[in-house]
Amino acid sequence: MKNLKKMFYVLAITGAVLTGCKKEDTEKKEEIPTPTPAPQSVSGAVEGTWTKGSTVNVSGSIYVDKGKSLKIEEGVTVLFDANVQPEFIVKGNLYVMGTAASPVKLTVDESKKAAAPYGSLWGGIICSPDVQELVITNAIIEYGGAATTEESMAVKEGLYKADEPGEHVPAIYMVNPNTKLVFKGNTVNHFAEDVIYIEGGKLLISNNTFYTNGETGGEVINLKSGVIADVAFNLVYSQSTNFLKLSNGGDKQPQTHVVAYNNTVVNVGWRYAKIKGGSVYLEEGVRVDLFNNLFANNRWGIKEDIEDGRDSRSTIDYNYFFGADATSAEQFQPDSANGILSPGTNGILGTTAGDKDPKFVNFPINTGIGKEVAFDASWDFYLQAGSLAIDAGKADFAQLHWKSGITAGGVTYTSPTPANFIGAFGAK
Amino acid sequence: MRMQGLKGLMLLYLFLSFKGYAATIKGRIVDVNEEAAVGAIITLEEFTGIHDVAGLDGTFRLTNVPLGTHVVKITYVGMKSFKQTISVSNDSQTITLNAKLEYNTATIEDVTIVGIKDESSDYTARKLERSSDKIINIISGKTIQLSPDITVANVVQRVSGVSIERNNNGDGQYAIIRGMDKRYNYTLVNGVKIPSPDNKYRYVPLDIFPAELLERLEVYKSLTPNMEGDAIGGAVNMVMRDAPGKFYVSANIATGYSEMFFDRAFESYDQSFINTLSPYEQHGKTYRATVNDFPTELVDYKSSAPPPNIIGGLAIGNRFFNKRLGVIVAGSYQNTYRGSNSLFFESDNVDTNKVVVIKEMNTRYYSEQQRRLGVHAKIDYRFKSPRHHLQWYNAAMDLQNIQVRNTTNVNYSAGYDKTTGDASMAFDMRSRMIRQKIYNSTLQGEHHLFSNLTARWSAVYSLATSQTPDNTKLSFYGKREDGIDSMLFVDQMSRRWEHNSDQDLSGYASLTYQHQAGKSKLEWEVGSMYRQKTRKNFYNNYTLKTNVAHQHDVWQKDFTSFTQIQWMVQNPQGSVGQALTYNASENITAGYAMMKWNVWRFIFVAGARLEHTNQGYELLYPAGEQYPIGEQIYTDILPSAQLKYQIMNNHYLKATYYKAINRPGFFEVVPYRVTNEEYAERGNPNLKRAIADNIDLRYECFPNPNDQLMLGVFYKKIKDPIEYTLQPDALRGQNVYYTPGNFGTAVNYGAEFDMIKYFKNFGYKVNYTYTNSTITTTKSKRIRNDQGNLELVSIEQTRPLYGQSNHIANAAFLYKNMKRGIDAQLAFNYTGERINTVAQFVESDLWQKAFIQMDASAEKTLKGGVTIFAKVNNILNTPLEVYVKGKNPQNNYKPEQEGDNTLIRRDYYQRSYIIGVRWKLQTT
Repeated sequence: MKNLKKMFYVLAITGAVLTGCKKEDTEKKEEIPTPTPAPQSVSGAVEGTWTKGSTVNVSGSIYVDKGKSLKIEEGVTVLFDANVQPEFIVKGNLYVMGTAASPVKLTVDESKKAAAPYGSLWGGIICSPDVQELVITNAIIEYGGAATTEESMAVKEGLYKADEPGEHVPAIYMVNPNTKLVFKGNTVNHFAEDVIYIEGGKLLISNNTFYTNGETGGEVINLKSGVIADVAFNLVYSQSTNFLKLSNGGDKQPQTHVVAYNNTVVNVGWRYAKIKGGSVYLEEGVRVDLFNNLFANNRWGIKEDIEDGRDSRSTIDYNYFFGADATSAEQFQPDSANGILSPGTNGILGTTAGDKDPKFVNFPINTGIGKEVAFDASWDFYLQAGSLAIDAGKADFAQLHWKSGITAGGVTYTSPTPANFIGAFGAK
Repeated sequence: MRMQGLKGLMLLYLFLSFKGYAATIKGRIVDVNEEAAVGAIITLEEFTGIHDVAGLDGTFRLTNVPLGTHVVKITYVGMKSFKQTISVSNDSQTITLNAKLEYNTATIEDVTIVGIKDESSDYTARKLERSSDKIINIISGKTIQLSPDITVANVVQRVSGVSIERNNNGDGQYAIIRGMDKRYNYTLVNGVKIPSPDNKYRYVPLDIFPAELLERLEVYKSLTPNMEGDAIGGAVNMVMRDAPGKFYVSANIATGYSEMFFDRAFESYDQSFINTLSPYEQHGKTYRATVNDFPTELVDYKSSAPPPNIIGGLAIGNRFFNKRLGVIVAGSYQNTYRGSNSLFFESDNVDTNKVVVIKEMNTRYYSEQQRRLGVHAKIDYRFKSPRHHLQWYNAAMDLQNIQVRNTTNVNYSAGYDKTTGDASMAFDMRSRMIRQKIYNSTLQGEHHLFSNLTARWSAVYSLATSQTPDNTKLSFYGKREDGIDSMLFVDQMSRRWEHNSDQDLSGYASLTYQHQAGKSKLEWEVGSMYRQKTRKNFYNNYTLKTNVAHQHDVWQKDFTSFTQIQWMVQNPQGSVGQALTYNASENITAGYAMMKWNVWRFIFVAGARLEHTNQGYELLYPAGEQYPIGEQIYTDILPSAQLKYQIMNNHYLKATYYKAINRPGFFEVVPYRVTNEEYAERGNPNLKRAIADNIDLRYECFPNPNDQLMLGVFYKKIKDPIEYTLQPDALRGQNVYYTPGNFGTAVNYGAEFDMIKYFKNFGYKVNYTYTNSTITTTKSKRIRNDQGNLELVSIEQTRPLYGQSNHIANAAFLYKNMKRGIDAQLAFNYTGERINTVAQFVESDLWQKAFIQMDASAEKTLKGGVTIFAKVNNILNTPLEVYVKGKNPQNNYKPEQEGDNTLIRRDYYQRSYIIGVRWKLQTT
């Protein structure tokens, strides 16, 4: 039965390719309307293209084999069977090519969501060391992060913490410093723990929204050694632990260097009471450049391991710390015993509750601190006129890794230009 | 006033009487072999009050002998009584009487037929050492009984060149022989190799064996072809008690206490709630465990003073049917409460710093109940003509460790205020019960087929198991504020099941042929062995976290008992630890041929052994390994030669050469992966066995049956020694693994000195071993590269073998008053500095500080075969200390870091006391 489905699928792709050729011949590319294909069910090896607007039911763990590619076009809905909790293993290349108007969805059946506030209903995208590139743009990725079992493909193939199954997987996991990841314009929500956990890779992570991830622990971006990353213009709301947890642990080459700028991070760190929870945590000689980041109502600001912290070449400046209540404001205050760093000499630091409100256009900044987890799509984190964040940023720093671009899937993606405001969104 | 006067009178009288009977008779009693007749009773027939017992060197002294003619009578077991008339004519006279006793002929037959020698005596031990062609050291059962030691592991450290690796209670566990780690040694029971309950390795924990079941302990430092060839360091042979010549009962009961619990309480839980099988095993692998599968009783801790320790033993033996059938059953039970207080610093190599930075300090309090039961039974039958002898030996050892570990953790990485000491803390409680068992059944036969042809065989079944069911760890975090530590929130709880079994089926057979060729005596021996080993391992772990709604519940506010915590199971299907769930097998086929040639003052033993190994494994839950199933097949030819030259009577020179191997551990070749915080660990299916050439030269002198002097040197060249290091993956260089590997050639050489000397009432045993070894392995070093970035490079470092101390010494001082039935000894053990853990980074190895341990024991024999005894262990309360050489200024403000080195661990075990009574009935 499975094989039969696979055959159909292969035929469908062949058909698509053939039609493509025909298109070229007739030179009438734009004119041909793309038919909406019937939902297909997949399990095991996947490759080729999942065409625009289609629905793909994932009935068992899927994998893109070594040397193969899978392209998911705009508007495709990939539904993982929550009863099976399939994993998405990538050993080849993956291109998830949604558009802002028509995003790709990696999700589960709507009816399963309510009972699972922190997902765990499917695995995550787990990359083997063979992966060359991963492009994920304009996708909605949600309700994943299931715990592995000894039957999991990620465990059986030794790809994710295989020695002791039972770990919740992140949305994205990569291991090879040569693997490229372009992660742009996506929304990730309701994952069980970490969202992006990388032990080696070249990353561009920009313009994403991450909200309500991590039940009792887990970071938005958790990096070990062997990583070069630009992280910019992201919005984070209600992550259990940190927005960034950055380490050079493991001593892979190159030394991890992260340039993070113009991110807006709100109400994070409250579902993790241990010392490493907060906004940003730096340890084991990681090198960072942190500019123009806005942290509001978080548990701690930028924090480091006081015995084994950041690389001395790091720069931290032009950041903004604000706490609407006393608890939050107090935790942002620089404190050498706790390793809480200053927002920088050119940064903005609210010293008491409500001091130096960044004035978001539409966000109830005084309520739900540390408690509210639900994300309201009507919120608007742009800045009202008169916000101290406007024109307070640094637009001309030179540390960007991908200023001249990172090429993946034949496209060159450049890091967004730093803005002269603080946070991911400027004045409205 | 009046009383004083009386006293004065009495003193005067004593003085006078002393003066009146000052004559002395002294001398030395030997047996027919010119050996000291220790314990011979010397009396004056008419004055029974004047008597003495021959001392350790056979000497005696009768004082206050009145003037006149006396008959001196000397009696000694198994000897004809001796009488001599002596006349004393002068008060200040000293008469010398040396006597040589002769066998009582009635007894001598017994000796040859059923061998009622006391095989546990020092005398036998020295005799065996003297007659052996191998390099051997023996500790007699009698010495063990008198020693402060109650487990075999503690006994073995008294042997020259042996140091021990301790468990977390400070009790010995494994032997390091001549600086060679436990992996290079094997353990025998009555000459038969036994399997290990360890879940990864071959070596047998020696603390599972109660010392009192031993007739003697032998440590072989050289191998002959009739011994298994995988002991580069040496072999420990436990010779268990044999059936006695006649009805014999002995019983002992003792009690004791550890001083640890004078100062603090003993923590315990009710281990009857432990589920032997995990939910996964009980209900199948698709079962989703709920909180109800994890009884909360295991975290319901009680603190109290522990009951006193109980140590008891019983042995009954007899011979039936004309002494042809011998039976002995012996059992030993120890229920002891032990503890240790441990300080442990977690550290890391920071940036390019040379010396580690301390990041956390753990204070651990261990409370452990040990129940140790050993039972053995031996039945032997000698056929009518003494040509056939059969014996069936059964032994069962069972050790339960029921432990609570209470850990307090202070974090220096974050939240530590250097001025106030306020800190962020973590706490955890661990409830662990480990049950290890070893069962061995050996049927052996000896057949004197012709007058000069002997066949011997053994059929052996052994089973070793270890179970650690429902190992529970409960973690909290909290804070230290104003010097007060408080727990705040629950972190998580893990529940883990581990068990493994190792079963051996073995057969041994040999033929020995002796003949005379001119002046030479020749002995030819051929033999073979086959052993089939199967081993199973299982591991399953569940993680529980607090229910989200209760995540911020505060201890003592929202909950007041650990049993009230609201849990949710993180991984309801458990996690069957891929790495630790495997089957392993090993089939060994061996054959050997050797000859012994005795001519003039020479004994020459030479031969070779062939060992064929087929070691295999199977991962039950493969995780993408290239070889989830694998085997290693190889054959070794292991030659051996021993030359013994008798320089003169009781002076010998021994020279030996042997080749030996060290096979990889069962787990080491399994391509498992275990991910640690900093690096991943994995097995190495390509790991080769180590092969060593061993040379020994030893001078031995036995001036009398109980004394000895041994001087020796040794040299070992080990090809492909197995060590753990960090190595980059062959295909993906960025991945570094901590893995066992073979490293060129290591050299280990040294010198030994061993001396036992007895005077009449005193004796001492001293030994000293110097060892020097070198091995070169790859280590990591973090540097700043040309771009100023951190980079890990590999460099070679030469160091001693792991576990090797340059200096090891033992000294025991004995006092023996046969007349009063008093025995006492004070024993010292010195173990020099040695590597405790080989580090990833260069010059970051963890060293164990040199230490001296002092133990004492004493006993007094009363009437009717009753003896009372007392033992005190660890009199100096010697700590175990581990450090990294050098200092990092970043550690200066942290506690206990005042010295020149960086302290990593310091454990205190405290003194322990035993007092007991032994009763022995031996019919005459």
